[in-house]
Amino acid sequence: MSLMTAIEVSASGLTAQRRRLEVLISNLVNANTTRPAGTEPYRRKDVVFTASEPQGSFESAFGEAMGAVRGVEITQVVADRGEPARRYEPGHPHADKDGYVLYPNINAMEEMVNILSATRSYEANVQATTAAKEMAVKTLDIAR
Amino acid sequence: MKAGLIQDPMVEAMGNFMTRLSRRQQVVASNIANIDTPGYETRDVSFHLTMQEILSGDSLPLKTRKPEGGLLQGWTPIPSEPEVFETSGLPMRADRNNVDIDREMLKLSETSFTYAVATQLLRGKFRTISSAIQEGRSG
Repeated sequence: MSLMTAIEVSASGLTAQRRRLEVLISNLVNANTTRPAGTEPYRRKDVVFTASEPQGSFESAFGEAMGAVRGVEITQVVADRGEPARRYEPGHPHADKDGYVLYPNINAMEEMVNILSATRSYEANVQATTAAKEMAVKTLDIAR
Repeated sequence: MKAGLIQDPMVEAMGNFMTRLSRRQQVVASNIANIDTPGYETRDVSFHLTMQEILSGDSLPLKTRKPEGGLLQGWTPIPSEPEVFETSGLPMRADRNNVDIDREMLKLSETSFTYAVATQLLRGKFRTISSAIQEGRSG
């Protein structure tokens, strides 16, 4: 049923945005994570969204023309290649021989803004699901 | 068109209309799900054109036409699938995505509301039939 496809598509959006939120939060909590000198510091991560065929729908199983309707999926989680910040902290256990510690290239403000964006997109998908559900209920009303 | 209780042209037209509306809901859901997907372009179902045809009266069962067609030309019988096209003229972001969230949310409630109107009309139609069956005793 076509309204179910709409709900599935929104569900894929919800999943993708939630996973993005998880990645963003892990960036935020690791903003001050250091690693022993000589090893790669924690790097900011971000997700890559790609439009996808809605999964497991009745229509797609029968190869019906679903071309225009796309769900979304995360195809990749990529590490930011930006330079880590070097801070002079000679007493730090992770400091190198010159006394510098590598901190991740994470800007807390930037992460907060991205988290807001993910939250709003999630809410928009919730709204879309609710609207499709209401339409399905209205259809039942015809026979009442 | 046969005139009968169930083969009623209005019922059939409303059925087509609702199919198209739910298709539009799918497309809008797809646009919203892909709000952050680079390179995704906003899609829409030819819908207002269909409404105009309904209002013009003599076009039952529903027909559609290409959105770029002229005012009086390019009319074709309704395909089993409503036409879906990529919306042009929307400002594109740096990641080649042109989904405008406010526009999509508006379309979402618009479609939902229009669908509710269509179901109410159909319900009224079936109530009338029900009333006739029961000789007007109760709806």
